[in-house]
Amino acid sequence: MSAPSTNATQAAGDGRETLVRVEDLRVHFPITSGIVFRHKVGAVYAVDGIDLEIRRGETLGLVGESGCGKSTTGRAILQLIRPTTGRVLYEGGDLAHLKGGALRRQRRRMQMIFQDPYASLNSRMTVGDMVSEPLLVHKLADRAGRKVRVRELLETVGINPNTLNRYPHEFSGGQRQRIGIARALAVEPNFIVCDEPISALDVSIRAQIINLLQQLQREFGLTYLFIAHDLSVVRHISDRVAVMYLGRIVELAENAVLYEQPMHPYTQALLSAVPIPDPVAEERRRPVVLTGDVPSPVEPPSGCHFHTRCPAAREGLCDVEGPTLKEVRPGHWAACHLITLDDYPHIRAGEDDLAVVAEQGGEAAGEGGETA
Amino acid sequence: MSKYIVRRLLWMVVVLFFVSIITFLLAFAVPGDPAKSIAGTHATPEVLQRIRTELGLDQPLWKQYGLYLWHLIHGNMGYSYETQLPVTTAILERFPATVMIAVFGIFFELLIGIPVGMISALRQYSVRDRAFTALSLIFLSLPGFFLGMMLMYFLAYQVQIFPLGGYEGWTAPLYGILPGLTLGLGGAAWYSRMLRSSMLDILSADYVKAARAKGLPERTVVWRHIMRNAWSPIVTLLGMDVGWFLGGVLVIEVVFGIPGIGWQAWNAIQTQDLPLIMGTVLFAALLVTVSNFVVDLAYTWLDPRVKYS
Repeated sequence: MSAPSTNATQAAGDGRETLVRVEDLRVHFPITSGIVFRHKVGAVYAVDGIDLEIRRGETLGLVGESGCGKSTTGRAILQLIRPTTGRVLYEGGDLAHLKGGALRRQRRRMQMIFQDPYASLNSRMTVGDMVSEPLLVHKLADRAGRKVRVRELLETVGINPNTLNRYPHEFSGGQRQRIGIARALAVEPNFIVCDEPISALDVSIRAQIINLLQQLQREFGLTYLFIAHDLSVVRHISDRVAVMYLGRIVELAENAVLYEQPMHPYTQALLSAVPIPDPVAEERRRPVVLTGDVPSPVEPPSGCHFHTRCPAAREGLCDVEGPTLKEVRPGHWAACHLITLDDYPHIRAGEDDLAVVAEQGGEAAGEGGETA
Repeated sequence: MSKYIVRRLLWMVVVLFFVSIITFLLAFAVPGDPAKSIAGTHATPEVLQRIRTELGLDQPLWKQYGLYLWHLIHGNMGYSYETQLPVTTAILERFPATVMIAVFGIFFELLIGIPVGMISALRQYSVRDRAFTALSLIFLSLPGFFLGMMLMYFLAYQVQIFPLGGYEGWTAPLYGILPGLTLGLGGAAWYSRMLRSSMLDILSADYVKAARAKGLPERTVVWRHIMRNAWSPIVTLLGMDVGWFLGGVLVIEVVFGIPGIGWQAWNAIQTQDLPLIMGTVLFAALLVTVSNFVVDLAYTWLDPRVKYS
């Protein structure tokens, strides 16, 4: 059940300093029963022991199936959901133990961009009020200064500043998402959690928003935690990518490494499901089809959470002990027992299901073997 | 917008017209002879016949209704059989007492219902929330006359804080408290339940998370972001209650002996005072339609998305 925190830093070997450090983060939602006498009957283990380092100025992609806890992770980092246990260090200071005014002051440093641009804007407030409200609470500008700043922010995200007295329903989905971004930028944050910021948008608008996010990152030196289930979008925008499965991180690596040489069987399966826009390659693609459904986070499987669906799982090992997230190669982290076994390359080459993945990332198998 | 208002006003006239037809027909469907109740059981047939001719009761029904409508259009609601006073005067004379009860009723509904609803939603499943849920169920299911009598017994008889009943004009507001509380406790139960559920919907919305992420103090999050979106059902209920209470809550007025239009209507029904019954029903219907209209207009102010055309 446990994935103990690792001592080695994930940022090692890279010049960039750590901005946010997550240590053994757990979010368990209690399940209660009874109307008059409520008592706890169980818990949803939404986030179950996560260690992460987010470096200043990078985009860390966080991918996984629906319900794997990626959004909860993002919210718990921002303290919008209070973690059950664990620490969230922002520039070295623990957020999880901050309360009241101290936490509110820290909120200036980190913001969130939401998935649904219709649900994330208060329909009874004008765009101007929404964007200027954070300036008011954090006393960032006086009345006149706020007006100027709101216009400036709207312009930055590509919204006509003359529309600041309008209400959200007068804007399209893409425009609303831009307004949400302006609202997040108002406090001049360093760190932004983008919680599937484009998945609710029309395909034609997605690229615009992605480009806007990248442009803003360059302009203001922002650090992103980019949560998504769309693997190609994450590949496009991220520097490093973390893969989550059922409340835990199973693999984390540089963008190119993760996509080209995935090590964890789950990542391999996930990537093999992405269609290739090349008819010849697509013809040869043999996706690893995972059997069964994602197990319930109420009763996560014993040992490795993935062992019930893993094509390479070993009885007596994977179902008994939970693997820790280990640095398998410099900068490449994976939580899988099999990787460290001597015969891991053989498993990958021998297993019919996995053969194609090994083929796709040919060197991965070889290199994986060397490090083991 | 002005077009919308004109259309709504025209519809109100249509609604009142149909209300008048239905009450008229119902009043005549009731067995009994108004002439007999005016002249007494020992009146001679000649007297009864004379009364019927005077009141136009010997005319065919459609003619009687046409005449009634004609007078109504000219602002004349007819004359009470019982007192011979104009119905308009009779209603307006009794109206202040009804207004006092209505004002107290609405005051208590809001005073109790809103804080209870807010606490229940903000502290969902807490001990307080569960206690409020149980109390709401009790007050929702208690009939008004029983609650009224209980309040009267404990707060006017056992502990003599409030008068037992009656009405001494607006200068003696103490008389309005117990009847107002009777209306208000039942109403507050509704208000708190509605407010609780509408707030719970909003509490989980992303824009509330965004408001918290901005670093707003909880007070601002609640009032500016949650409550501003949670008022709608409260306003709807309020609109219905204003119309209903001002129309005279018969049971409460009878229990507390308040000479309002409800009690008057109660007497009118017993003496088959048709013009007075008709007048009171029409008056109450007018109040309900007007307050509904006001509520609909209030929505445009409360919610920028609502636009009428």
